[in-house]
Amino acid sequence: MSEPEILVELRGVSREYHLGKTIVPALVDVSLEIERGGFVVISGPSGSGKSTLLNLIGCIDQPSRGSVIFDGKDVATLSDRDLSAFRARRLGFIFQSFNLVPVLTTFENVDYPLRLRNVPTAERRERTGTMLEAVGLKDQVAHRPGELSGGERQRVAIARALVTHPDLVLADEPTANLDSATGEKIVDLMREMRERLGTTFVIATHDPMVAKRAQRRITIRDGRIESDSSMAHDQPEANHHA
Amino acid sequence: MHDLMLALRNASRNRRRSLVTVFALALCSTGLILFAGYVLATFCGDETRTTSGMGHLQIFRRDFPEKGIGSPAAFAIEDHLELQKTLREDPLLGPMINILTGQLTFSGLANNYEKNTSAAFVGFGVDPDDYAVFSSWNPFGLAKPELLPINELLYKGGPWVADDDLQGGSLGIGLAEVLEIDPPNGPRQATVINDTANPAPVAAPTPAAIPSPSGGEPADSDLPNFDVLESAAAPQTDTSDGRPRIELLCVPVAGAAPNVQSLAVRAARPFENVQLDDRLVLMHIDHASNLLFPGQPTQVNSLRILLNDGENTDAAAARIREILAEKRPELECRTWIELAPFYLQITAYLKVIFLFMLSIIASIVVFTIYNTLSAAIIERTVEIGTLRAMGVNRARIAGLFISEAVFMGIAGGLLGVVLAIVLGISFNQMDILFNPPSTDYYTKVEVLIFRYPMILVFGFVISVVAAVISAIVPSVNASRMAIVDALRHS
Repeated sequence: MSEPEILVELRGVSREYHLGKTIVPALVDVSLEIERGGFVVISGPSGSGKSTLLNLIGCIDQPSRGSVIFDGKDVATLSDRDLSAFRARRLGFIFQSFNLVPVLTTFENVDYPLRLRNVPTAERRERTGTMLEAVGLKDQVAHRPGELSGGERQRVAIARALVTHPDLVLADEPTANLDSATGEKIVDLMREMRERLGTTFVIATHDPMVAKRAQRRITIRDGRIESDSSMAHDQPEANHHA
Repeated sequence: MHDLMLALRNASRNRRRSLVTVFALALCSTGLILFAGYVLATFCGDETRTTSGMGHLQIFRRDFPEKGIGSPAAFAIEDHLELQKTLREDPLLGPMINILTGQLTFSGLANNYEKNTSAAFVGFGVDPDDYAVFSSWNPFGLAKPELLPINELLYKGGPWVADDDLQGGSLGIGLAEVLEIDPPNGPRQATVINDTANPAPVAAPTPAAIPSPSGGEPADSDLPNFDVLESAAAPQTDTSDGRPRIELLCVPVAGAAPNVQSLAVRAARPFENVQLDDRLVLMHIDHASNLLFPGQPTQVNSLRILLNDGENTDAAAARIREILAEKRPELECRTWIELAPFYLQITAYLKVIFLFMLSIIASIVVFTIYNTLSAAIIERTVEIGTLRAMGVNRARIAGLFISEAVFMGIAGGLLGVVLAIVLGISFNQMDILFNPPSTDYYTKVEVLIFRYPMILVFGFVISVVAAVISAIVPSVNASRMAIVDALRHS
């Protein structure tokens, strides 16, 4: 059996915030590796540093110290323009509040990341249609976010995050604004997409239901990794809830 | 293209705020266009008044404008008819010329012996037909004061000089007042004395004042002709046609004998300004020439040229100067702007006011758009963070907001142009009148927006440019937001 391929590596990463003259440490000397194709859950109490860790892995924040190595490249060496292109090409994001663009339709929201990558129109249409069908929203393509339920919006967000076939999808509390049944369906959908596309998922949550479905669970407390464990089961339970 | 679509949808997201912004932009644009139209109408009005009085170009002996009034006969243009022929037949210049005419400008003393009054005057000897063309010159289609009903009493009657009334002429109403030419309509109103249907008979020149046509000199050219003065001292009112007569005394050349001619007053009327009203005597050029050059063929001391198109003034002046340099070096040519520096002063003054107003309006536009975009950015902070996380770069984020501003600027500009057209038409039909400084007449306040469509373009462009400029700072600020801070925004 071959060694698992490392997608993201954090080396001695610290992140501090300045509140006036007070320095607040959010992450302290964190080192970890995330393997390609993993379904990783970062859990911990509020204020423990989950989102900060997720932001650093997602290259939307810079560490105060240490480095973030993505696929062998230190992202700190990239200019803002290159980093934007890098995120558009290799990362997908799912947010707690879905963060869809309200003036765009379901189709247009999912289509948007492909436009950022200048994918030809015909291919865009095909991939967007396929992805919306995969998340069960092919009948809502013309709806705007305001016309969708919370679960449907999160499905759109998942489709938007995955439509570019990114290496890594980062989800910050993806079930926090959903009822438990819808939340489970969303997590199962993410696991299913990971199975189907081989996409790596890193999810920050304090929802035990999500943590239970993780392949690997990292617990953060006071900005430090408290535990990092691989779970025994790695098979999505989506089939039971779909 | 997609970003433009997104910007357009975002601009219409908060419809009420966007509409208020667009309407504010439209009002600013409308205000600018209307004010620019008014300023242009003022420029054009001044140009029309000036050129209808003095022409686009004048030719005279050197220094005539500065010194000629003191010795008008000394500045007579020799062979002026030959020069006129040369200019008219010039292949480059000829087609540009509308009217080329001679004029005698001089000064002297006007006397009304009936009332025992006298006053200094400035005399204009003009060709009546050419004078009529000059007076009706209206290249910009503005409302002429003499055609406004409110000025009816000031301008009724006319023509002011006529070929069939060699000794008739008109006075400025101020001069008529001083000379106590009885005004039937009260002071500062046109005093119509002649009946144009029954022109007055041509009175014979004062016999003692005029040497023989053969060119004989006065009895003693070095001394005042006391016979003439004595003769002129008698009341000269011509009772045969009921028109008052005044005597015009002038000294053609310094030190020479004065000469006197009688003038039958056809009318008193306002001229371009009250200074002229108080001094001007308008008379037939032949009669004026007889006063300055007794017994000689008609002389002129300036040639006045009215062009078909004022835009050709500089080109025509350049050509005339070439011709004069070659054939008549003692003469010079000046443009109406060189002769009437007040025009440049007025235009400079109005330009300053316009720029002041432009800066105020542009400031309003800038702050309106700035305020609207700032509010939109605050509302969409999380969206900005999301787009940035998805890979939208800073320039594109800034471009989104600038595009929104451009859309609002375009909408505001277009609405402003439409409003300006509607209001401009309404404004011009409202017959708003005012009394220009130093004049006796009323003139109509007009806005010229169709003659110069560029001011409509200008109003539109200002709206768009101001919108873009005002969007730069908030857009750049939006693009520089830290992604995590933007995503955390609530």
